[in-house]
Amino acid sequence: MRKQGAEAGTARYAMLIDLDRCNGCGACMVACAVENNVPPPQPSATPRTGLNWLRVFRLNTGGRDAFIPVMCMQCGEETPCQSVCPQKAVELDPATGIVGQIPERCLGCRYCMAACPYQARVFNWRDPQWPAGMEQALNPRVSVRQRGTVEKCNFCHGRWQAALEKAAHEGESGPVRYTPACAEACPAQAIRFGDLNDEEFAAECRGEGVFRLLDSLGTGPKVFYRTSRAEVREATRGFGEVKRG
Amino acid sequence: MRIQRRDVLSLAGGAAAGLAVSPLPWRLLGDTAIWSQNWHWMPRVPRGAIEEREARCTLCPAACPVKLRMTNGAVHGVWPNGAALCPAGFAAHHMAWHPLRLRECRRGQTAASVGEALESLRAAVESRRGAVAVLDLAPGRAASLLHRRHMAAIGGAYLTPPAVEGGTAQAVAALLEKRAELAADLARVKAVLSLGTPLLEGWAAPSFAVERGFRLIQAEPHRSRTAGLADEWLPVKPGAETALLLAIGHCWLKRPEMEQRLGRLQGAETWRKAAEAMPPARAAEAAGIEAARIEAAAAWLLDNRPALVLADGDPVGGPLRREARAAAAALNAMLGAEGFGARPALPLPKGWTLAEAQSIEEAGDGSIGVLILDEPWPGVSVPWQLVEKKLARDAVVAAVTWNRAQFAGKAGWLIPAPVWLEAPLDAPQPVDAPRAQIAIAPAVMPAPKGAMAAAEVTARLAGFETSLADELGQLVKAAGGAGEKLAEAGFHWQSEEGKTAAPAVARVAPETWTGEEWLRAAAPAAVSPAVVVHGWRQAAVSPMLGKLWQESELREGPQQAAAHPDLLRRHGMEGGALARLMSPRGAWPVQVRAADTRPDVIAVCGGPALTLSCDVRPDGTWTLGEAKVVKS
Repeated sequence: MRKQGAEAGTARYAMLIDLDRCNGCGACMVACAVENNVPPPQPSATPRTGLNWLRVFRLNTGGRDAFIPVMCMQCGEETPCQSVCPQKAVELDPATGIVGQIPERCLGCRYCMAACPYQARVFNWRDPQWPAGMEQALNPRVSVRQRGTVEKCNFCHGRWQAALEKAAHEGESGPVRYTPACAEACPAQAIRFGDLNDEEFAAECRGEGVFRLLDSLGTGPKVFYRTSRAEVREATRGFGEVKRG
Repeated sequence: MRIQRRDVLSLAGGAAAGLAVSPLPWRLLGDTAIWSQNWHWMPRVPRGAIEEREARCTLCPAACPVKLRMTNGAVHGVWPNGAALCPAGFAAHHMAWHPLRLRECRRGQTAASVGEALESLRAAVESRRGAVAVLDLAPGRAASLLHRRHMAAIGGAYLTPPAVEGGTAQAVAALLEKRAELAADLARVKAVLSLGTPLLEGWAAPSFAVERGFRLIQAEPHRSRTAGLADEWLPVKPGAETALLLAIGHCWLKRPEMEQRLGRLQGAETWRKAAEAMPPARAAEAAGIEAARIEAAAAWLLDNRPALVLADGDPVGGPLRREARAAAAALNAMLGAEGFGARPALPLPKGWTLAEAQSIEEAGDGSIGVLILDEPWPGVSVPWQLVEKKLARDAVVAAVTWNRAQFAGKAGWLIPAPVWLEAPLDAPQPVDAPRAQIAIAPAVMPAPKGAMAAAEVTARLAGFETSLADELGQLVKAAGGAGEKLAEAGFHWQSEEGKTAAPAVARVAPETWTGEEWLRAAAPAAVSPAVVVHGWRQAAVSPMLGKLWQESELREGPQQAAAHPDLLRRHGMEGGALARLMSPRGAWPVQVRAADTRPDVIAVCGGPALTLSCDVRPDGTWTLGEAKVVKS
C-alpha cells in the first residue's frame, strides 16, 4: 500500500539487509561487479585501491561471525558527496531517491570520496581492462567508466532504466518495481529491495532490530540493516573503525 | 583608424576573459569527458537484444540451475534460476576468456595440432597396450563413465585421485555389511562435527539445512568462513585430528547405549583399545583444546542425533590422514552411519562395459606407459609426485586441460579442453546427498578451434567415432531423457532423494588394524609454527573473484597466508607484508594477513601450483613438508 503524502509517480528506493541471514559468501560482490561492468582487479590492486561498489566486511564479535555488506547508502538528506562536488557530477534524483554518479562530468577531484562517511566510493586509478575477449561478456546496459573518475553503487541504475522502458512499453506509469543485482544474487535472501513509499516495506524498515550505519550524522541513509544480535549492532556503532580494522 | 599594439592586446585579453565566462570552455570540458569514454582503448559493450536461456552450472557437484543472459551469442550474465548460486557461478562464464586459458594444442613448448596429438597418442597406445590409463581429476561425472567405457575397450585403467570430499563416506563404506557407494546425507542430520571440511564454502545443502536448524562444530586450526559460521569452532592443532576423534570415542564408551552398539560390531576391541588410551585430558594436550570442550562436543553430538562426523579435509589442502578418516568412520559406525545414505548407480545403456575405477595410489609404480590427464575445471589438482612414481620410463603424458599453466612442463602434450558452455560438460555426483545425478550444461558458445573434451580424446584412442554429445545422449536416454538435443538444451536428471535407510554397518575398525595405528597417528605436527594448506577450489574460475580476496578481505585467496597477530609480531611482520613460503620442494611469494588462527599455525591459501609441489605420504595424503614462511 502506498504511503500517504508520497508524491505521485515518485519512489524512495531503499534496501533492508538482514545480517542474521548474511553468510558472507560474497555472491553479491561478484554479481554487482558483473552487472555493472566493474573490471576485475589489476595485479597491483589492494583492498584500498580496488574497485568494489559493494563490500562485505567480516565482523568477529566473539560468537558466530557476522558479515556486513556496505555500499552507497543513497543518503537522502544533506547528501555529503553531492554537496561537495564542484562539477555537479553527483545528483540526488528526486523521482527515485537514488544518488546518481555521472562519470562524464566527474573530474576526479575525489572530494566526494573524502566527504563520504561510509567510504562507499571508489576511484578509477587506471583505465578499465578485461582479459582479451572478455569485453564480449560486458553487460550491454551499462557503460564502462574511464580512468580518473569516481564511481559507486547506484542501485543498479541500468536495471531501473530497463524496468522503466518495460513499464512504458506496457503503458504503465508510476514508480517501477525492479531488483538490483545484489538482491537477486543473494543466496540467503538477506538483501531486500523496496520503496519507502510503500507502507509495508517502510514499516519493516522501522521494525525491531533495524538500524542504519552512522545514523546520528543525519544524512538519511536508505540502506537499513536488521539483526537480532545486540553485539553486532553495538560493533557497527563505530562503523569507520570496523571498516579499517 | 590606426590599429595599435595596445588594441590588439586589449582585444586578445577581452576575448580571453569573455571566453572564460562564456559556456564554450565548459562545453569543451564536458565534451572531452564524453570523448574520453570513446577512446579506442576503452572496451566497448556489446550491442543487441538480450536473450535468456536456462542451463545448469556444472562447475561443482551442486549443479545449480541458472539463467544465462546473452547478447550476440555471448553470455554476459549468469543468474540463479529458482535456487541459490555461489560467487563463482556468477562469473563462471568468464572461464572462456580466462587469462590462463589454453587455446591451442602444444607439444612441450611448441604449437601443434590436435590431429598430431591424437596420432602420436594412438601410436603410443598401440605400442604400450595394457599400460594405458586416464586420470580423472573430477570423478563422478557422466563423462567419467565414458572414460571407463573407453578404457575397457582398450584394456586401460581408469584412475581417480585420492578422495577428499567423500573421503569419510568411502571409509564408512569399507565398514559396511554389503558393499555400497555412500554419500553424506545432510538433509537427514541435525548435527555435524566437521574436521576441516569446507561445508559452508561450496557444499550446496548446508545453506538450506541451516534454516532447518542444522548445527555444526567445525574443528580446524584456522578460523575459516565455515568455522566462523559454525556453532562452535574447535581450533585443533594440525595433525591432532585423530586424537580429538579418539577422545570423543572415549567419552562415548561411557554411555551404555553406545557400549551396547559397539559390542555388536566387529573390531570393537581394536577401537576400544585405541579410544580408552585417549582420554579427553590426553587429547586436550595433543590437540591444544580444553578437555571440557572435547567432552561437551562428544555429548552434544549424541544429544543432537541424527549426527554425522566428517573428516573429508579440504579439496585444495588435500585429504586428512588415513587414520583420522578411519577414526571418523568408527565414530559414524557407533552412530549407526545415520548420517549417510547409499547412492544409487547411474543407469547405463545396454551393452556398455566399464573399466573398474581405482584410486591412483593402487596403480603399480612405473606401470603407466600412456597417461591421459583430464582437468576439466580450475582448482583440481594432485601432487605431481603421486603421478610421477606411477609412470614408466619414457611414458607419454597428455593433459587435456583448460589451463595452460598447471601441467606445462609436466605433460608432453597439452590439449585444449572446452570449458563450461562450450561443450555439453557435466557435473559430478553431489557430495552432500545420497542421490545420483546427471547434470549436463548446454553448449551455447563456440569453443576455441581444436578444443576437445578429454572423453572425446579417450574415445578416439579407443576407436569410438561418436561425438561427446552423442555418447552422453545414450546415457541420457538410459536415464529416461530424450538425448537428441543434448548439446543445445543440456539435461538434468536426479534419482529420488531421502528414501534411503541408513546403511548397515558390520565393523568399527579396518580388518587388519590393531588399534596402534590410531595411537601412533594421534600426535600433532612437531614443527611450530606449522604451515597448513587450505583453499577455495573455485577461486580460479574467473579473475573477477579477486574482488573477494584481492580487493577486499572477505576471503583468503591464492598466495595469501593467514596467521595470528602475535605470531606475525614475533616474526617481525604485520598484516599485508610480503613474505616467502619456503618448503623443501620450492618457494612461493605470499602476502600475510593477520587472522583468527591458532598462534602456532600459519594457514596458507593454496592453489593447484602448491598442491602439485606437495610431498606424498605413504598413505597417499600429502603435505608441504617442513615448510616455513619468512619475511621477504
